[in-house]
Amino acid sequence: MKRYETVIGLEVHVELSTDSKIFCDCSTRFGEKPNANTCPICMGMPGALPILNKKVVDYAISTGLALNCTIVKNCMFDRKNYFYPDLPKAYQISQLYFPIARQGRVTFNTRDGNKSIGIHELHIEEDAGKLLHDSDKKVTLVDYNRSGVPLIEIVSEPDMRSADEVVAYLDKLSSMLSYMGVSDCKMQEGSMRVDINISVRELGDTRLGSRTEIKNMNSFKAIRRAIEGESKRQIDILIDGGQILDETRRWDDDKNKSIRMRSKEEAQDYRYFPEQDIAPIEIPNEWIHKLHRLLPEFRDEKIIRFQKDYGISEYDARVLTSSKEIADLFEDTSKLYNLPREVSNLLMVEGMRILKDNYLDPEDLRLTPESLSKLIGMIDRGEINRTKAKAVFEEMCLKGVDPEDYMKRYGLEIINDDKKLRLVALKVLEDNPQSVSDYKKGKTKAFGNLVGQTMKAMNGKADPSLVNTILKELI
Amino acid sequence: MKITKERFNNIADMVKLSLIKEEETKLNKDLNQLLDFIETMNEIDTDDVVPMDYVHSLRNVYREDIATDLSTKEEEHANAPDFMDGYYVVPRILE
Ligand SMILES: [Zn+2]
Repeated sequence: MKRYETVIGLEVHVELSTDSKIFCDCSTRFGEKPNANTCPICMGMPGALPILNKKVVDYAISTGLALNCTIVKNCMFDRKNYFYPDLPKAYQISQLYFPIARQGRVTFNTRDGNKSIGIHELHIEEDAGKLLHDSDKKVTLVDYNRSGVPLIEIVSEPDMRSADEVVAYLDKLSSMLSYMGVSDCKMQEGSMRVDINISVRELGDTRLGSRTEIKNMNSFKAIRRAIEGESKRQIDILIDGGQILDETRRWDDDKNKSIRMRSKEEAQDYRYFPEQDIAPIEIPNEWIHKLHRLLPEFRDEKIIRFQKDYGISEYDARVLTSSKEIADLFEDTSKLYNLPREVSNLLMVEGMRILKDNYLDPEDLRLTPESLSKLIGMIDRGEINRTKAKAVFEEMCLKGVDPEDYMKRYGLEIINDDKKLRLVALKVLEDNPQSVSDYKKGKTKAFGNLVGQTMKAMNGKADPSLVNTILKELI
Repeated sequence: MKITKERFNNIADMVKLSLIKEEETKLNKDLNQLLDFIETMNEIDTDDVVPMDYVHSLRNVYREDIATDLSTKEEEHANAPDFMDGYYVVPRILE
């Protein structure tokens, strides 16, 4: 039997974490009311002129550098024309002829050793609006909040051979982008969307087969299933002696199969031409050098260094570096109080549980290295037991409390209450000599009266069992 | 290069022009004349000429990444032929 291999290249669209849109000062906030973040520019009103957001270029250059690309020092924008209601100008401002970065490479570890994927190019473009199809009223509703949100598209070479490699590549990309603060890469919110170019060929063949493109994938699970499903579909066609058609397909995850959208012949004719409303972008060397110096230490390097510097296991280093926020928290805390194993333990076990239970992202944690190092000190000096430490840690994560303040208040309250309760109880005994003597004679009902009087004097805010104990002691 | 009738109709379709017969004939002829004119330029040897990517010598200017809230929304919404529950309404688009 013939053996086949799958050849995969990806186009990854990433929404950038800027505050404002790419060509206007509308907010990019997610989850606003429909059409709340719009203006004449992102609504494509005649005569409205785009002005490029500098941060978008910063982010694109940084990403290009992180992916070992060559930065195109004279890049330009182009118009991609198509008529669709999600695009108010009837063209998208994108980069075709001179994308901002080219010819890069990204390397990651797999079970079979290091894998290196070529980056064909990286370009900047604007996002389109969102369409909602109202089946009752037979109309389509349009929300332009996303229109003009900055995107970068990262186009890989067809260097991947399996769903595992694709997922590992996407993991690496999203880790790098979030470490740089370029994007939050939240697939479920659509800030990372993937087009998969996939073909199959006989093992050993070096030519590329006809490919299909599967558009707009937004979950790792669906991507995995789509690659496996589409690869099998193509291999089955070849085994039956058929031919793969060059076409765009859509993955239906419920039906677990891809569905044809349009053939290459029907492909859109975008009639690209240079965008005259935006002058050419000149990127001097100083700009590139400055951003190069600002590149963070990425996850793979951190994993190695954490094991070396803090003596923690590779597994622990992996968990701690899954987000830059947690990695920084671990490192900054350990610098303030040198007990990295304890810090790592709390963050990994309790921290991860708290994130999961409360559906939070690491950046939502209200923990600071200062407060966490205090708690670690308290644990180290035996001032707090582990169970209590976990409870205090949770309060710190969710409410941002200071562990010393919290313990002082919590601890003092108990002592105060106890003292106060004794004073009140003494007064009740003095005021009710009859009940005391009745109780001493064996009338249990009289004791109930004393408890009632004490509780009343405490405005009902005392623990009745504690009142019982104290009264019995005093009598 | 001649633009065929089929290609002409395809272009008209893409730019959303609906034309009557006379317009079609006239525009098709004009378009072909234009292409002939460009064809003449192809005779010039440009091997040693650096391509001109952009007509003037301007370089780009930027804006800082600051979001402001322009309150022109109501005007924008009022411009639309059909606006409902915060959404612009367009004829139904099939996927
Ligand atoms: Zn805008």
